[in-house]
Amino acid sequence: MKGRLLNAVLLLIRLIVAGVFLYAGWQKVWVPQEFADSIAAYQLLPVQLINPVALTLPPFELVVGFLLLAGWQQRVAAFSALILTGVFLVALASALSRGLKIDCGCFGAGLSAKDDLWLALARDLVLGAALVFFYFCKIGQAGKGKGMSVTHEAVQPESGEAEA
Amino acid sequence: MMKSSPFLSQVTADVGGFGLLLTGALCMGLLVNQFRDHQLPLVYASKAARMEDAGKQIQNSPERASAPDERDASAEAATPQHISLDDFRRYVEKKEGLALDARPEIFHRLGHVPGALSFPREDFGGAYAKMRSRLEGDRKQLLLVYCSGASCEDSQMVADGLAKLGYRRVYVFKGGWDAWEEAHLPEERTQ
Repeated sequence: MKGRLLNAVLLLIRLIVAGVFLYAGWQKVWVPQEFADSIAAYQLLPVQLINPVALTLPPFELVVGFLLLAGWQQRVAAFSALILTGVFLVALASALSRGLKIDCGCFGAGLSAKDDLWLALARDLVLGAALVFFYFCKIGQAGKGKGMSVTHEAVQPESGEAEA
Repeated sequence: MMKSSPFLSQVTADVGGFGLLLTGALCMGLLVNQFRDHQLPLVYASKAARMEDAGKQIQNSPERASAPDERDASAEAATPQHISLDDFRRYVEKKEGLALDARPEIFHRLGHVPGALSFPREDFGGAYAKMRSRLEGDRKQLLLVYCSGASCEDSQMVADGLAKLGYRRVYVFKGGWDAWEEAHLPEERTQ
């Protein structure tokens, strides 16, 4: 019963994160110049890196979102999404600490571009927490699978943890 | 014998996967960029620098050279003034001025002030070239520039750019599309 509930929660997290990443990537991939302007507004990256990052992030978000939606390479996709969310969190916290009044640029030049930075930070924190949970559950499940193939004894504590 | 932790080996594998995805995304981004109408250059130029370049290109274009009086006017460019929603609305309703929408074109298509023409800040040079005859036909016409709202700087940048090109009656409606929508005023859509 608990295992089924956990799987349902993991599925829900996977689909929500996939949706957020696909939407964010789709909004930004069409307007690279606006996205580059958003990145520049954070005043964190050297000029030489702004446009390459603006060209890379949207397809990266799309690929991660697609992998999560399709359920392929879930752990790698979740890890990548986690790293990206961490980077966004650092950028947002840095902008807030410096009192910058900028659009977060989280969803490109889309309709949600004028997000409050605090709201964006809160959203990323929730997303990050969900991804940490998802990733460690997947690590646990993979470890459980590997452990079972080696020794039965080694699996006992981990399987107990996973079910708890 | 040293035993590597399964957790660490899984994380290491995921770091490798992350690197592969990132490299793939960079290649994909660079490739897609080659097929864009407006390619993003590899080195970033600020909004102000891009506006400056567009202004210079317009001033140096052959069509521009055929209107000698404009250069004198640009030398004493006036700072565009701000107007209130009431004034902006009056000018628009009486069709006394030409409203210019400085937002990206996609937003103009989704909804704009009736009669307003798309004049995106991001493509100042292209928009000016498209509207050259209409604009240069009457340099004293009233130009009313707006963008999405009070926090956006596109309308001010476009208005400054037009003032530098010699247009004397350029006004900025700072409230922009947000204020227009909040006042429930009529909207127009481009099909």
